[in-house]
Amino acid sequence: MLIEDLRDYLLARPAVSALVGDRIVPDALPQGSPLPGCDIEIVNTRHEHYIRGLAGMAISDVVIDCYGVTRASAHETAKSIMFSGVTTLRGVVGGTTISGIRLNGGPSDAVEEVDPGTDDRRFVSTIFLEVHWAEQCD
Amino acid sequence: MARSTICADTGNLASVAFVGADAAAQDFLDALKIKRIEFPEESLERIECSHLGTTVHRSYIPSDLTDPPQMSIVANFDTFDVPPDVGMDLGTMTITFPQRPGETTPATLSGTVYLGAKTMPTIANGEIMEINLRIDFDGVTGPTFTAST
Repeated sequence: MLIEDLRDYLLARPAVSALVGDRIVPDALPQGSPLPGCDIEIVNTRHEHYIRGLAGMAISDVVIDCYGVTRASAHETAKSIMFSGVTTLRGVVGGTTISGIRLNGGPSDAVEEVDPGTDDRRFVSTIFLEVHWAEQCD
Repeated sequence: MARSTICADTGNLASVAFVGADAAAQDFLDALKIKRIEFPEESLERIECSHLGTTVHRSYIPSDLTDPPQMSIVANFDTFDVPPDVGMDLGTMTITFPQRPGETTPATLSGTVYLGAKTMPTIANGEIMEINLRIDFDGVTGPTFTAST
């Protein structure tokens, strides 16, 4: 599946794994995970059609949230992914055939309260990928 | 057969077939994944026949011959097949319109054609490569529209 294949690709990049270890997980980081870490999810998928049905290409919007105990840490993690070579990825990656990946945005910053009423926060830097990949054709 | 109860339709599931094309073009045509088919306006020149007794508006009659249409086809570009050369004979093209509920046979439009023009795809990040073909009816056979039944 696309998310797992992208995760495996990113974790195989030394610059990424040096920061997050194996902490890129689908959907949500488990509570209490050491930071920095990331979660990755598909927020939308569009499908190319021709007049006879599916044309065999899907375009997925993939969001990667990079968490850190400081803003600098969250940014550093986001940039390690942005410049990991993921935007030049093309071909068979795990079980997915990727046609191309665009960096559509990011890092986009946010702050989450860990302990409401205190200064205990975690920092999020989000990057947005657009992934063109092959799917079954009609 | 009664008219379909679906009075409006999209182009989804239409098909295009080429029979008897130049052998060098047939593989490309058989694999074509067409996204869009556009027809031009068909028109006849008008011949003025006003005379001294004509009042208010000039009067006209239609001319005898119209130019056969030049269709535009947009398709996903597949690098596996060589696109045909401009001017190549593409045989008899049959466009089959989508069959609507209650119909026995869909409508068709067919005629003999050749490749009038082609535009190779734009190559850019994040953009599907599409080839544009101008398919010209040669006026020898058709185009003939056959209604659905």
